[in-house]
Amino acid sequence: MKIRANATRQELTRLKARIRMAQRGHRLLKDKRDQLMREFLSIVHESRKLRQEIEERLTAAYRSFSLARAVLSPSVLEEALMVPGGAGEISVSYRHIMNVVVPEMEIQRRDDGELQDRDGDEDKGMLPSYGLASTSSDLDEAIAKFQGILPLLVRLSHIERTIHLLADEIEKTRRRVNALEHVLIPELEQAVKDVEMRLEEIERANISRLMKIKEIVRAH
Amino acid sequence: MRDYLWASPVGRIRTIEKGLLTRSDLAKVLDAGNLEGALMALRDSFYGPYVSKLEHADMFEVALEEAVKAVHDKVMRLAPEPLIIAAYRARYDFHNLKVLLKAEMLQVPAEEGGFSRLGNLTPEELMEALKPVRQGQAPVAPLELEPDSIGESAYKVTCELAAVYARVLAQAEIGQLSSFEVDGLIDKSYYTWAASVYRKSGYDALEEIIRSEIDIINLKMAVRANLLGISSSDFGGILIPGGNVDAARLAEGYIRGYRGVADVYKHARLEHLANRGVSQAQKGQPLTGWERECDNAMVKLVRQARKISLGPEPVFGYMFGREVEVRNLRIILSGKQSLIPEHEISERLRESYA
Repeated sequence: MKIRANATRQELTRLKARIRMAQRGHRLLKDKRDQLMREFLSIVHESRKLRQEIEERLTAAYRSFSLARAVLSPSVLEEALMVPGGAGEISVSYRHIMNVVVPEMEIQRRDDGELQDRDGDEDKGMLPSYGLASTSSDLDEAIAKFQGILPLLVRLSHIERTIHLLADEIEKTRRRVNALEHVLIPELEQAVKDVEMRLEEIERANISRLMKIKEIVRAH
Repeated sequence: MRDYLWASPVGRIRTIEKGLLTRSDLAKVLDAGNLEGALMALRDSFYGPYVSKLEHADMFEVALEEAVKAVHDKVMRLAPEPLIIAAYRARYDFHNLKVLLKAEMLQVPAEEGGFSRLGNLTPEELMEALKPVRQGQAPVAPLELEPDSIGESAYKVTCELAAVYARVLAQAEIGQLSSFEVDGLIDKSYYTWAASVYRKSGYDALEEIIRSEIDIINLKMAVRANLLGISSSDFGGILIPGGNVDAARLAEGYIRGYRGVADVYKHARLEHLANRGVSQAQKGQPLTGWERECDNAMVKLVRQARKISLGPEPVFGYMFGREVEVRNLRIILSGKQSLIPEHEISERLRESYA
């Protein structure tokens, strides 16, 4: 949409100030977009690596679980896993990346669950949630593998959330940069040009009017 | 000791046990290309009637459980002293007790999948029998109990289960037991009771079998507990007394770590197994192969007892042999179902009793 401006010197000055402001904003937003892209790419790279690691570890864990399932009868396995493994708490904190608030999650194991750590008693170690007499080491192995994956899954979830938030912000910033670069600044420049042309025209009209008045005065 | 009573059952068992799967029979099942093929290979065996009833190959566990149940029921009917068989079967009743107690701990209804149908009592019978215990009473005795009958042995098992249930409930109210401790307590109660039943029966070979089973379980637990970093006090709580190796000595040895455990088994029959387990664990290698060796040691022991011509040992051995066989079949069939490579399946197969 074309900017409508009065052909006055004051308006011209105001338009020029707006152009300077828009150019500064454009430069800053471009820098922000570039920095966000850099952050985004490094997080995407990290997410890809983490996802690959999780997939490999999940495959290994399911494989161990299949082996445990082969050695133990379904009822023994069901009974062994009846009581949920350790209760965990996820703590969420926030950090800013180029003014984008992204979450950071961390899983902490509570003391009343599987492999519970009995604080305050150095002699006491970790306890599984099933007895050892009727289960096998394959089950220990499978459960240890699954437990090792849980913090990675939590980490992956916050990384993926960060990716979504950054992508949204990059998209927003890109639109703003484009709007400034391709719409606002050209329109403002055009408006300045129009105002300057009108002012010059008014100036020329004034001069010719003055000359005409001068001629009339001389004739009398 | 009334071993002459077992003459007829032993005769029957000698005929039936010819149907046990041999190594080559298992190899045929293992060689099948897939789960359906493996089940097909079982059609001409003892498992044929159970396998052919399956609507879907993935439901093989139903067939295996039915087959074991049929073996138990047959052996119970044959046994002139059913308590000997009932004491072995009671491990499944004690397992069901664990399920019930854990469900109570979690305050949820016990899930059907956790129960075993192989015990002397069905899960429903067990729940019914334990109702009076909550009011501090003994389980209701059947009206007529013939000595040495299946009913009498089931009642004895029920009484023992009720006693253990009451004991665990009393402790849980005081100290809020963890599921690990509940399992440990029930396993300990079962093996202590079974050992006393076999001791009182006067059949030395059976007593030796249960004592050796306790030794092997304690050894396996000691190595795994070390690996899991379980404290000595928690480990002491789950150790099963009544084996050839003193549980108190093992608890002391456990404090000194892997070497302490191996030292306890020095000059014992399981010395070699203990050293192997400890060295595997110390090297951080999987214990799968070693656990198989432990199970094989049990099979060898029961196989030795089979040579006794008159007594419950061959009957007991047949039942045990079928259970080992089912375990091997489960390893093969689950392996086929999960597409586990053949060599990984075969390295988990236990020695056959046949």
